[in-house]
Amino acid sequence: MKVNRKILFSSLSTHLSLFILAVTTTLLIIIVALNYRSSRDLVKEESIEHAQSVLDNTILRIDNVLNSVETAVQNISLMVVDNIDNPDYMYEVTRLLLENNSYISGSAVAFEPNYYQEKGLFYSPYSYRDDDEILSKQLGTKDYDYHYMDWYQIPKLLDKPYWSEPYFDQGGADIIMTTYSFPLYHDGKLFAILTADLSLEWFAEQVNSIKTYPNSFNLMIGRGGTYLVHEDTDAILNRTMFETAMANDDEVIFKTAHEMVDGKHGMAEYYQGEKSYLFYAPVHATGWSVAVSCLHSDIFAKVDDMRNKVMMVALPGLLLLVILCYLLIKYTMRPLTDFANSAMEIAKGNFRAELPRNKKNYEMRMLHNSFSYMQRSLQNYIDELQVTTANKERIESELRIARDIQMGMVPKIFPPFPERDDIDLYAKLIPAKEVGGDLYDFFIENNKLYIIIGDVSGKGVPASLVMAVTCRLFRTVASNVIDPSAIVKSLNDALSESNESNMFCTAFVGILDFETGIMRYCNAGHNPPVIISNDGKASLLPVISNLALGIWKDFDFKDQEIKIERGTSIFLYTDGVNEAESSNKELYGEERMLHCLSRHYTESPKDIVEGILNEIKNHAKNAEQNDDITMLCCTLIDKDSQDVCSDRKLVMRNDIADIALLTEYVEKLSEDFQLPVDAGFKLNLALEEAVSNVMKYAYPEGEEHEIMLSVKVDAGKMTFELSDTGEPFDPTAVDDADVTLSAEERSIGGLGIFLVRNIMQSVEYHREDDRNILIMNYKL
Amino acid sequence: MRRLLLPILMLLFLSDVYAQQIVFTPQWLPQSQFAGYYVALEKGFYKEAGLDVVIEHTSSSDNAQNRLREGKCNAITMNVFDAIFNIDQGMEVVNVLQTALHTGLVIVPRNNDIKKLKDLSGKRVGIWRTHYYELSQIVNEDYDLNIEWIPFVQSVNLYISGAVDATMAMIYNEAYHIYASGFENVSFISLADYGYDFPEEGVYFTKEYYEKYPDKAKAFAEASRRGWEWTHEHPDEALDIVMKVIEKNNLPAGRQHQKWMLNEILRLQCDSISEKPTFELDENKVMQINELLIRYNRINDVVTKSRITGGRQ
Repeated sequence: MKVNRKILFSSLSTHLSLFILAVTTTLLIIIVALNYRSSRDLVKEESIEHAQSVLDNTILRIDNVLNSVETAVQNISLMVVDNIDNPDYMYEVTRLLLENNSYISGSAVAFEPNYYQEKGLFYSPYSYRDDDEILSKQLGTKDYDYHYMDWYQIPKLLDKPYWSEPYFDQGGADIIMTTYSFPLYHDGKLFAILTADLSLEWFAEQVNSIKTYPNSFNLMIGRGGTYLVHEDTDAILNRTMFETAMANDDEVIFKTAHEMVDGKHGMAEYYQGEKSYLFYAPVHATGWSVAVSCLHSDIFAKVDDMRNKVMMVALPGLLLLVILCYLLIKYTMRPLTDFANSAMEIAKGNFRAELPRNKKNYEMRMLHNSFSYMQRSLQNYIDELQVTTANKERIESELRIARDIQMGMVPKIFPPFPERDDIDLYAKLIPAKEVGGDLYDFFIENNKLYIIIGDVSGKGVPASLVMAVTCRLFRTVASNVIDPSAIVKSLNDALSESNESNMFCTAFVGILDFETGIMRYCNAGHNPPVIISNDGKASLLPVISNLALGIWKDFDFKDQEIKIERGTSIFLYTDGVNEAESSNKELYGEERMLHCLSRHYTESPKDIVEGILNEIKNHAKNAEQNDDITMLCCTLIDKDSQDVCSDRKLVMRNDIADIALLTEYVEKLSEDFQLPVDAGFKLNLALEEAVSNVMKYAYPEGEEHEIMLSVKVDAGKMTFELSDTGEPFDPTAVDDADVTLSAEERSIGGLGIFLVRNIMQSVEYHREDDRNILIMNYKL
Repeated sequence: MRRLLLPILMLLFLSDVYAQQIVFTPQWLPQSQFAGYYVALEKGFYKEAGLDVVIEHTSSSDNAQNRLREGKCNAITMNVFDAIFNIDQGMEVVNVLQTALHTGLVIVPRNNDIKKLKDLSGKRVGIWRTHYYELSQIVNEDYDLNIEWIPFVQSVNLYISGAVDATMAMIYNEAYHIYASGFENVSFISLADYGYDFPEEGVYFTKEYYEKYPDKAKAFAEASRRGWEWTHEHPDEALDIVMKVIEKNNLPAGRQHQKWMLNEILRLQCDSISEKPTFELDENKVMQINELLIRYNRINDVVTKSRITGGRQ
């Protein structure tokens, strides 16, 4: 079976098991470590004691023998002094010493040179063991001048008994031995040295009888650190412990050797392949030192063995523990997995999915109950939600229908009077919600244009109902009425009556007589419309504000009138326009609106309305539309100038390819005004320069923008207006090009402007808002 | 007749071979002191010089000078002091190569209060029983020291046991033993600093051999010199060769001691200014020794360098 490793390692069972393993292991390690440590300390203490006591025992044995030898020599020395006149008796004395002390391998009474005249320079009766026999001889000869031997000279010089450093004796027994020398005096004068030899072998046996651990070894050194007993027999009498220390550059051994030579007890820790301990103690009589070297691993072998056994039991035990924990936790947790599966079922939408049943475990029962409660709650909630959603959908659908109906109530076919060439009209209503409270309407009757624009207080469905009533009433009451105030009064009366909900409606009603150009109007608390004269001046129509409709029945509304010139536009709007808010609550405002209108004065009503709408959208950015927006623009067309002026407007992109459009435009212009061929060519040249200048330099960032060119023809001159939203640039401020320079060397635009200035009668530049406006006059 | 011819011819041949063989006995047991000769033998320098050299060592009962006297060898090493004394006493030898330029003699005091020769006045000082007896007397008289010289046979136990206040020592031998016995902070009083910087060993042939086979003697000197020069350049390999010789002679091998010794021997062979071996016997030093020995009536006649070296310059 393939185990999903990701699940295995992220599962709760694994985590818990590992946690238990970690805690148990840590505890176990601490316990084992503590136990191991204290055991080791105990073992170390014991082993030190053990080694020291073994060492002390051995040294005690050695000391006992040395003492017995010293005592025997001292005792026998009396016999020498007593028999000083009998030189040959000395053989007997030495023999006696050997007989009485089995440790002594040889003994001599070595006399000073020529002590007995008859015996000569050398006289040294000497007895020694040969197998079981004791033999005697005279030791001193010309080749063996004992007077210069250490065993003779040193006690003589020191004036005291002396244990010699072990030496290989060639004069007597041909063995390595040490000699105890006892100086003898007669009348305060040294006359002989009494000696007793002990084989070093005997010492070696004693020292090597120490067997503390399997790999321990023993050694003995002399006064100068010379090895007397050593496992490497080559080292004996040949090397010193100091040399060993120096060879290995071992500070510890060096220090220890000094301690030993100085006759101290102690222990040293050192490394010889592995960690070792050296226990040492002095042999006081001779000035030697005995030492036992034990391997650390030997001393602690048992403790280490115990630790290994504990670990051998503990490790599989831990493994077993983890496996059992894992299985147990997994078994206990199984309902959770089932619950997870059920939850997934529920999440998929099956609210009646069956829940796992586990009655054994309190927590699982709780979980089961909670899940079951959640299931029921979810089911109820979903049911309620379904009903609510259905209702909402129904209302929304109804509202959509209501909107369609409302939109159907205002005229929406533009141009509305295609048969007339003296009027152009465009209107737009954008409700803030599905349905709105703004309204507009217009119709022509008896060569008079009736228009109304209104705004019902509030928004939404209630406002839309009042709006519907007002619209319907206007159509009914306006017909054949000459005074706008009469219409307003009728509307006011109708709305005021049974106005339970205190709704009101501002409105502006105007009647324009096409014959006279006089517009009579009545304002019922509405925003004053804007008059845009044919020279581009936009101004608010002076109005008496009167009162909004539906507030005061029988209110006396006043009429006003104004003469509308040909070419003038009337712009009606609701407060959704001037009070449009940006995201930081800044109003669009009348001023901005008037500016925009004066900019667009040459344009058709549709373009004017769309232009304002664009500006509002730009102003509002992402802010939600909070009021209905309604605009109506109506232009009284000047039929005389229409042919030449109207729609002589060209919009190009800042793309050099659009120059073709300009050429076409100029050609059309030349044709319409029957310009001479060279004039048309010049005009084309100048305009092309001006436009291409803008295309090339006004938009360095390279995005697409619009460049606008319009023309107005007056008596004897053509006035071109070129406008763009690019970077501020005044071409009139540029010096004329230095025509002597090559094209690449000349500064930007210089030559173009030179041409434009030459061809055009006058060139003016001004910056308006964020637009460059270049006015060029061409004399016909 | 023909039956006799072959043995006679063989005898003649063998005697010739024997005559051509050089038996060389250094003044002591195998040790680094003689490294150059072991190297010359091991590296075949003697063979290349057309020589058949055998190195036979001394024993406790058979010292080098006795072996030479008894005809057991043709050449030995000897220090100049002994050579002058022996030549005056009638020993017929010729120095063919001087290896040591300085003395390795030092006095090692047992406590640090003794810093100069004067401090030894009235003290017990150890000295080899068979060496430097003359010098010890001269030093005593020269500086009016009244030293009680205590002769020892070989060991430094006298010093270690405290039976003497100081001891004469060879820097490469006894001084090392003292040092290796835990007296690592001892100071040395060098006799060279007191006007006794007498060159030590050189190679001496019997006058008889030298006059009979001068070329061989000279070739031996040249090959030995090569051995020493090689030793100066390759002290570690030379030490290996020395250790081999020591082991072959069944002697205890103390490599550390031998290393110390080789180092000191090579140092004593170097000129104190050029720091290089010259292998030349310093005439001034020869005259200094003569002057001392005559002043104290130890010799009858001046033994010149030319007399020592058989006229060799």
